[in-house]
Amino acid sequence: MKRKICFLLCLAMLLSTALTACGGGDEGGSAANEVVFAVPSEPTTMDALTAGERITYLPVHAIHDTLLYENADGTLSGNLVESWEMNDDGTEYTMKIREGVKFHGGQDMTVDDVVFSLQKTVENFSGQYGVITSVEAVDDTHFKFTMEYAFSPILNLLALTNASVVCKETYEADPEGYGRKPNGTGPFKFVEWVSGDRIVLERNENWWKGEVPLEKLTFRIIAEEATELIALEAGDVDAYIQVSETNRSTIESNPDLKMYSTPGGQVYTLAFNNGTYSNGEESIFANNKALRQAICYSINKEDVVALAIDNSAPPLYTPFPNFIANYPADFDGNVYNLDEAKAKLAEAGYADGLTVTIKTTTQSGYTKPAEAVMGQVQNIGVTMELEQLERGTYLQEVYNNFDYDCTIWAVSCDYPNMDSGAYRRFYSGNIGPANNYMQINDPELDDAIMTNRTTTDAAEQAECVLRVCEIIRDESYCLPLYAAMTNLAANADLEGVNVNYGSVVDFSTWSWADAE
Amino acid sequence: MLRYIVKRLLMMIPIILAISFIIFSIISLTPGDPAQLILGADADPALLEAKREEWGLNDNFLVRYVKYIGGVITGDFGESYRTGNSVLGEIASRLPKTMVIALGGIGLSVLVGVPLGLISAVKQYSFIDYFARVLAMLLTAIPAFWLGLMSLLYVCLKWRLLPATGGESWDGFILPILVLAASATATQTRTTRSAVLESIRQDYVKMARAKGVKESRVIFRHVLRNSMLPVITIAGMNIGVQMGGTVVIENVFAIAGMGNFLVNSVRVKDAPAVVGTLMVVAAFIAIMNLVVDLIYTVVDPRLKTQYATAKKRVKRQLRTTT
Amino acid sequence: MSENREKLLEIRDLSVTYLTDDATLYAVNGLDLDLYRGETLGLVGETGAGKTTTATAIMRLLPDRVGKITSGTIQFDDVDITAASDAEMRAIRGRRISMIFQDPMTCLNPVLTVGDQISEVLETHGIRDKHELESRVDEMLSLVGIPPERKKDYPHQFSGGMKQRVGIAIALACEPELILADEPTTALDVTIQAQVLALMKELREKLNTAMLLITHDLGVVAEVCDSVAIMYAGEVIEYGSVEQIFYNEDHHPYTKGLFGSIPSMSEGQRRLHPIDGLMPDPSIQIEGCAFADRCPHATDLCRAEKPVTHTLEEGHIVKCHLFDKKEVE
Repeated sequence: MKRKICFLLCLAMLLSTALTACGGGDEGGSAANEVVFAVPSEPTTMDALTAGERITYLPVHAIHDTLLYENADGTLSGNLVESWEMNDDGTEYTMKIREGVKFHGGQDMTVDDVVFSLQKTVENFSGQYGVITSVEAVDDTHFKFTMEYAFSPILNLLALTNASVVCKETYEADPEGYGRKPNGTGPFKFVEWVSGDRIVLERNENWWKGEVPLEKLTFRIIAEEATELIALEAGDVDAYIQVSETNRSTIESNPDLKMYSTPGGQVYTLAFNNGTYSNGEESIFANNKALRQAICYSINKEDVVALAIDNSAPPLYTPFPNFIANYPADFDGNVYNLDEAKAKLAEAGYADGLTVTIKTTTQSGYTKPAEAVMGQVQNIGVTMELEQLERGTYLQEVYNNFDYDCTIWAVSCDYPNMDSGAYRRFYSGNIGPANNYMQINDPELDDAIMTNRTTTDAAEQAECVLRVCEIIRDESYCLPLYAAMTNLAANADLEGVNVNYGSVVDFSTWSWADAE
Repeated sequence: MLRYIVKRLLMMIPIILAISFIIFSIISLTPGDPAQLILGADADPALLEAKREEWGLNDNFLVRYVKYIGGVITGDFGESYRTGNSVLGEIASRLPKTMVIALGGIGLSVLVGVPLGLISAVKQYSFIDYFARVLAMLLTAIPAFWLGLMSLLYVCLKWRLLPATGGESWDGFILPILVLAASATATQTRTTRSAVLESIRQDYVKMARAKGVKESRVIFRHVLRNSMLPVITIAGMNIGVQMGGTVVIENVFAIAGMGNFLVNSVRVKDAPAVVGTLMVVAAFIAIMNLVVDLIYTVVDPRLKTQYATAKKRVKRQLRTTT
Repeated sequence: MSENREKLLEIRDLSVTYLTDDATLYAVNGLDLDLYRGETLGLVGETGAGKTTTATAIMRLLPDRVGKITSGTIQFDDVDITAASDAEMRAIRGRRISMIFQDPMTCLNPVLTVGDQISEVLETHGIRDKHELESRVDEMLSLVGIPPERKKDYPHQFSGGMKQRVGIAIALACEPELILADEPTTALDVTIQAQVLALMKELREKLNTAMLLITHDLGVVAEVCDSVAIMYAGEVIEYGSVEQIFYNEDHHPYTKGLFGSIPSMSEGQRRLHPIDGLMPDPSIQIEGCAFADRCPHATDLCRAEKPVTHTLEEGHIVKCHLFDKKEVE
């Protein structure tokens, strides 16, 4: 008798937890006009003014509109900003905001919202936007901002997700909570966020730009790529991002699926520590140009690309991807020469060989190129020992404290201008944690970078880009390897699918082929 | 008996406090900056510093711990750095999912493993015995990760029987439960088998047969009940452990459960989330231990005397001497 | 001993082997035994003689694949035990023949109450009515000297002696015709032993049950038994009434050795006189007399040929070559 009661109790417990566990119960997959988009990690916030990671940008970008819009060809159009005027010396912009735009909560977008948002963005992302010194409303439909100097790429920056407009009222009422209850103007409005599981968005019926084909957009968090792929093939999920190259053939050979690839903005780079460790000791590569050159000359990038990314993208001989403005198309950055490499190694004083540690995180995106590089430098007698670190440790040691000799990391271009990568990573004024971690300090380089920032003359800009490429090649401060493809896999019936070099997706154009 | 239960529950408190201190230390003193890990490697230093201030990361480690425990005692487990939600709230939403998998998996393993082990022992050296032992060996050797992916591949993709990702509807839990049950069944079969083999050799079994009792009744009444102790122990312990241990399964089937939460929190050094979750898991394990011990007394009356007070015990002892 | 003795159990040429992975053990080799209604037969022998195996074989409780009756017959009243079906045997066990086990500490199920274990044998053999079961259980407990309230207690709450009494209560519950008592007092201390033996005698008289009392203790035999069978290496080598075995002159050399090895209470002794040597290895089938190696009177004939049964006197038989000539007389 007692045992029967026990058994029934257990059964009851099991059933009740099961029922509470599966509340919600919506079906995955393409029900009606819906897209389920799988992401490998959970976005950290919906707040456009603090968001900082690619995956986080995906839903944030769908909920908010940016001030300007970057087209697929790299040109800029107005978005929430209709038109603008620059003053004579390029230090000030006056912009006209679009009228009749409503937030999801029903409020009208006013110039105050725009000014508030931009001010916050400048505050929170001073590294990129810090050149702006003041933002103020001019009248009900105009605002202006002033910059420290004439910074030409500023308009590109206003097209990034961080330069979105949030509802000032909502934000000020609860700044901490805004990240979980956003109020933007974008094509989709926030519905719910089931922690660890999914983020559900719904079509914004009053979107100023027009009609949004999709009714519902769900971001499903699926950590394991194998599961993402299976879910995609089974139809439980309609698309996913960060597809690894090893799955390319599976997706391309499946008629129900389609692979969208675009050259990415992340340049995987072999980075040298050109300065000191946190304890003041000099890194082996600091002030040792010959050694740096020896390493760089010994690396055959074709082999690296084959090993690390299955030849899915070509080797890169410039520190920037080829879609940036003024890209030097004829530039010869190929320094591969084993004999010269050996000679340089001897010049540096290591004719008998050298052992050096290369640190990376545990992600295969970084360990694979590291291993490829290790194989290459063996040809001149250099032994690289790979030390894989857990992400937190890596950031602390390498990124913040510069306790490393060489590493594989990425130099990213978030907008199609050399400045995006160069200013942050190569400019000596930015030597510091999580910025110019390679501790590159070259006055000529600085000059080229700053000139590119301040000049509006296209020819001068082109010259600056070329000079940066040359200096990096000649001084071998670092060695760019390749720009990995940005991949997105989707159900073949989806139309209007897009993804850009920065993994930014515009969901407002997505639709189902059979939907009317 | 009630006093015993209360005593056990009170004993849990210092244990859980000790656990909280150890975990808090590990999380706080290992390298890595939660702010940078959560906001992004390239987040603005001002933003990072603001967050660090908000989370009290600049305080001395002991000060932080005392503040944290002070909160816990008043019932405030703090907020997760990563999600901003209350830690207890996060646990509350994830616990049921993991519970379903743990209870379902372990329950299934008992339902399948015990009869299989029983038959295997009673019919030792028969075909079923060999089959059961080989099966147990296989299931133990197969990693849950592989089994999970394979089942996804075949059941979800090839045969379209079940959804690929769990957690949304009840049928999303079937595969995770089966995968967990797979290796748990192996253990349960082996445990039951050896327990039954031992029981069956006992004199009281021979005695029962000498009374003319039917063999099936001998097995169920005399053998089985005496073999249940190790089975209950393992099942009970396992349920407790799985509260934090279903990580791999939750990962493969994309279920937002406790294990998943724990791993993601550890990755970004989210101290309140990690310590809070582990305290809950520890409490759960301790309670499961207590429940198992209580079930023992029902199954084996010899153990009841252990829990009686000293007075009663002496009285009882006096009675038994002839 | 009464004149009109009715034979209850007749065993002829019983052989039992154990087949293990390592070897075959010949536990019982050509055993003959007679037991009469109401009589207590003591089955005496060293450890390893095959006494327990014999009792187990009578109950047909030999371990499943391992133990086998390879030859011989066991006739219990009207039932041929060697040929009976499983169902028939189950009806007999506990009801017509029951067994008292050697170690009281382990033969009771620790998770069932004592009352449940007694009523189990009653239920198995037809009594279903709750009230009848209860009163029967109370009756049996009182019979063995245990207060009936204790039927709700568990075995671990009893001492060794009381547990053995419970075992006796279970064995007697259905008023069997034959009890196989396997060294029932060996595991108990001497004072308790006396109590239990007294109880058994009393019950035997009350219920007129036949008993096969297995023991290695000649003192117990003297106390309780009507007749004695001496067992060695799986066969009965001497059989007779208690008086014949204890007082007659002629005995099997083994029997003589057994009596000789008992320490004397009256004389002072410096050393004991055990029988030299050990019982033969049961995995080997012996050609001649099994005792030949240890026998002080062994001849070549003994080692070559198995001895035959000789009747020394009515009711007193011996299996030994020494008496070959005697019988001829």
